[in-house]
Amino acid sequence: MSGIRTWMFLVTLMSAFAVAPTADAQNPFGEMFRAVGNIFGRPAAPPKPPPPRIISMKGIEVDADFSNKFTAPLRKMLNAELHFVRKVCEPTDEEFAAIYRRGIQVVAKMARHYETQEQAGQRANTWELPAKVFLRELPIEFSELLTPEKLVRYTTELEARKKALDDAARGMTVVAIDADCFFTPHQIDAVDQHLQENWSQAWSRNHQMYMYTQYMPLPSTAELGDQLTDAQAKNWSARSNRGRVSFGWEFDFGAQNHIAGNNNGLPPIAEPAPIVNEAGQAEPEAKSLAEVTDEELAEYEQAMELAEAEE
Amino acid sequence: MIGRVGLSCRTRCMRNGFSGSVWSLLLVVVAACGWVPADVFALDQRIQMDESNFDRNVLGGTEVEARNKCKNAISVRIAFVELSCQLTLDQRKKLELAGGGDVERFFCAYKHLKSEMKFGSLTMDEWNAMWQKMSPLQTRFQAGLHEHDSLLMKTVSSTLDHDQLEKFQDLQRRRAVGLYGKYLRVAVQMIEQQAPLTIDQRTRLTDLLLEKADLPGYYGDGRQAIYLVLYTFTTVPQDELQAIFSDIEWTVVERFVRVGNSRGLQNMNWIVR
Repeated sequence: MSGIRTWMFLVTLMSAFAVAPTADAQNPFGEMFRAVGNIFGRPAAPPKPPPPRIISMKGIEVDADFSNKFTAPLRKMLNAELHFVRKVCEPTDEEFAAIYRRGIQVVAKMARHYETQEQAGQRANTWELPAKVFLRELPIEFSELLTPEKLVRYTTELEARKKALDDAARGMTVVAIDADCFFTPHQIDAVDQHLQENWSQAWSRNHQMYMYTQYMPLPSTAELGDQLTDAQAKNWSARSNRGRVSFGWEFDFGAQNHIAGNNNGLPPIAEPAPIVNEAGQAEPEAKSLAEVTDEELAEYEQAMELAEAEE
Repeated sequence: MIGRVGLSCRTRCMRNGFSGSVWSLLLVVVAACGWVPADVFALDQRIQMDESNFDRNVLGGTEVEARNKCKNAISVRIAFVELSCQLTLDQRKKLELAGGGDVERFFCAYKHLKSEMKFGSLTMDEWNAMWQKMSPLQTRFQAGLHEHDSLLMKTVSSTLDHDQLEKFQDLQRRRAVGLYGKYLRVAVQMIEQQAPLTIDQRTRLTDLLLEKADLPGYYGDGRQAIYLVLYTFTTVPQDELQAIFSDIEWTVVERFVRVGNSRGLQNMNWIVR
């Protein structure tokens, strides 16, 4: 009887594991043992966090209408990005129509890429954050659709957003350590500076994770160098390390907003109607920068100077 | 019942030539493939809970380890006070005693709860009931035992003289400003996830809040801290805040502020600028 009970318990454990959604196909038993360890209080050694997998958009060939489960959340993020392009660059209708179409293509490529990663069994919490992919890829993709002046404005703004994203990750890391170490005002800035100089991308996660500081990937005592006093270092070393937890791809993707809800972003931008000329024919797409002739560029610069002089 | 059914099936199969291990393997495969709902087996699932498991759940380690951690925490807090002013031996002893009082108060509650607990083999319902009781104590321990309502902090106010207290409060204010700046970056990013801001908007927003918002003196866990920082958006002139955003952006920002307003005020104390 006790034998069958043991097996029943094992089976229950296995079935719970089998039906629970998890992206940890690389090492499912490692995850299971860690979960059991958490329940029963046996601290398991935390796995070393792998670096995020960087998307290379080159070589991903996919139709613009390609769609999978990643498409909807990515489209939502793209919508916010399109609002941002409008605000910063004030594109013409023609420019915006081309930007919109290119954005849809970027989403299709990203959706394909994340699908490939998932099929390869890579954990969602090791994927590169879509927010970062957008910030890196969109200026490249839009570079040939915007005028040089608009492009400079756009890339400057995106660089600042990247920095703000990193600053937030670092800031939250500082306050998470402070909960155990109670920093002095000087230490708050000194630790921030130290982390800036020694930042590991493994500590960057989707910022919804900041609401659950106990699961945040945080630097070890050694990684904090000599920033802590002895008593603080002892406190920090004694904290429970819960490893690198994944709450599923929607969470790691940043597709969920745990504060304002998921459907409360900026209003969706409708697909721009194709630009037609007086004869009712569709206008050709805007030229890419490589296709612009020297004469056209000189003409453009002259027009810009004139506009500036008029201002 | 499931156990009895399993047993009788097993007996019949063994009569027909199935070995016990083959039967067990079959069960594992069936369950692992998800063909059998987990809750069928969960009926018989029990959790072994003993005193050391209880300690790990509440304290994150043994009682000795937790007490050492508390001892360190008192040293860190008193070192913080000493950074602002020179303490006399008498004052230092009083603070140590008060810090020890906070720790003992916590461990008294911990021991009381532990004595009420039933250890051994627990059903899921028993485990859940136990967790409901353990969880607040775990949260209290993780949040730290020397926050604004602690004996230590009250003793600081009553033990330091006027000059010392002023210096200490100044240090606390500077710490509050430093922490607020870090939390603010995160709260702004939460908003930017839905409505990205320009450099100009981000600068104006953070400047306005750093200059005019009320400063929290205690943040709590990550979730509570973000709500609290969003709440501080309501403590600056709303026309100045709204002027930073376009109309459609303001509808997004306003939602965040509303959430902060409704959830950010629990367990709060404020640092006077």
